[in-house]
Amino acid sequence: MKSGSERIGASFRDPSGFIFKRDGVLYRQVNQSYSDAYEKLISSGVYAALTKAGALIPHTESAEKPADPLLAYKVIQPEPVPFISYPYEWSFTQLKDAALLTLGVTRTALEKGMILKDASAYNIQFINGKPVLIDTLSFDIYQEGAPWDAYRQFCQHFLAPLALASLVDIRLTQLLRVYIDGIPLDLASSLLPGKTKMGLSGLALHIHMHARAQQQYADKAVSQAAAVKISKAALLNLLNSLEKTIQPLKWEPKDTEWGNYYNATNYSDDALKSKGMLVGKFVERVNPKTAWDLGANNGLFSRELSKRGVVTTASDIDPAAVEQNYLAIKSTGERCLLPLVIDLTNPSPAMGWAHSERNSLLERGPVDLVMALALIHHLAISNNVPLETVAEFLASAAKYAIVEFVPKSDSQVKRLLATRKDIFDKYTEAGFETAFSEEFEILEKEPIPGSQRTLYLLRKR
Amino acid sequence: MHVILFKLNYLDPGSGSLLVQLVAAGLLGSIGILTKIFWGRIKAFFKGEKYVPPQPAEEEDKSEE
Repeated sequence: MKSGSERIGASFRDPSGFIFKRDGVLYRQVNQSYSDAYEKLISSGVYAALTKAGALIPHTESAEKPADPLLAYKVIQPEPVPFISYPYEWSFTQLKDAALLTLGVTRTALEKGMILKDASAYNIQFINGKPVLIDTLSFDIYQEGAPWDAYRQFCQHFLAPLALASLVDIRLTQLLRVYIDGIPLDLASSLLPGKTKMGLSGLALHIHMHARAQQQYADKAVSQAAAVKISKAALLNLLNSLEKTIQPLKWEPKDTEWGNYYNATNYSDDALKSKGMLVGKFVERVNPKTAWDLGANNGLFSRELSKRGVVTTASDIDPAAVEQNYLAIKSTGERCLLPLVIDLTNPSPAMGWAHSERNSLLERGPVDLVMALALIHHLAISNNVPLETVAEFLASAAKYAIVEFVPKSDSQVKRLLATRKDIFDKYTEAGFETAFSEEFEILEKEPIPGSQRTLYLLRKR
Repeated sequence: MHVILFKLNYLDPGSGSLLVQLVAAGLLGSIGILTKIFWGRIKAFFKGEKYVPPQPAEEEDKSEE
């Protein structure tokens, strides 16, 4: 490996090439072994068709020296992805859209003589509000009669979590965080309702029968499978069948934590508006390029960032709020906002081989600005996190912070304290300022009109 | 001989997955095609009418193989 370039952990499995970083820029080395497929990707028109449709990440061929010259065929520089997110952080429709994109890309490739050799959900990222395939080396030259090698991976990464979320419980998408190569089909099969086993439905085939066949043939040699020959028309049928199985899967949030939070808060419409203006004023003073809005709910205030062109992730613990946010982004075509399901009391860890395949939340930072509105009381009171520790966490995430302090006199905090002993002597405005003073200096402090709350603009010391 | 015998797979497609894929692709394909071929008859049956075969010129050319 050439010095000064760092190979990125997530791409080591594929022998076709890998990602490396040099001087802060991401490149992808294309290996000799992939040269035919790469040239076919360009000459067949697959690349042009997919990038035009916004389905595949555009790249330029680079004169940069390869990180591993012995293997190298070319170096390409893909368009940067603003924020890498993972399927266990997506809401239902985000995962569904990523699944449908994967099928659409496979179909387009197949029509032009190529096929997707993998169907990993981790190859999809959200850019400007839309799912995009970011692995340029996922394409293989299609051989007439060959089956789709990625079929099993597709079922594990997409179909199984979508079916479980839709038919059993939305929280089961979190199984993706446990199983790095998607939900094992025998597990999905045992969790899904019995009625999905009936007849020849998509789920009966692609999950239940699939799981049984895997068990049956687990230790059998490939000889039987080698006889498998599937016509292109039959492969297109398979893609259609997967799409028809996924399309009707729905998730409609009913009773969730925050679903209609803004109807039940302490803010009147006027107060919400003036809080928004105050946030906007602070944002303009900092003028950040990137931001995280933590505890963002459905993204009402995240838009004070994104509408000013700040690349923003709006995370929340509640899948319903995130779903609502994503659907809004989808319908309005907003570009700078990425909603994610993240439980801040247990944020996404570093995972996979040598902890290096998937980054933890903090490893994907820092950003210029972190925002924590109406969040501190949940961390400090519901989760017993000391305010100093909250300050440390925010300081490790960004240089600037916008934090809303919600005092004990606020009815939301009263509600949190109603069922437990008040052991939080230091939870006062003065206590908050002392706790944060170690990490931050206060640039601005303003009472939020129409409430008892205070908004702080903080800068890391 | 078969191409997939010699191809270096980077993902293990799994023997079971290959077979289910074959079944799924074949089965769904044939149901689709059978339905297409016999749709006229099925419709006629439920309407209680006599089935009249369509003129061959109108058949679209979308054969399976």
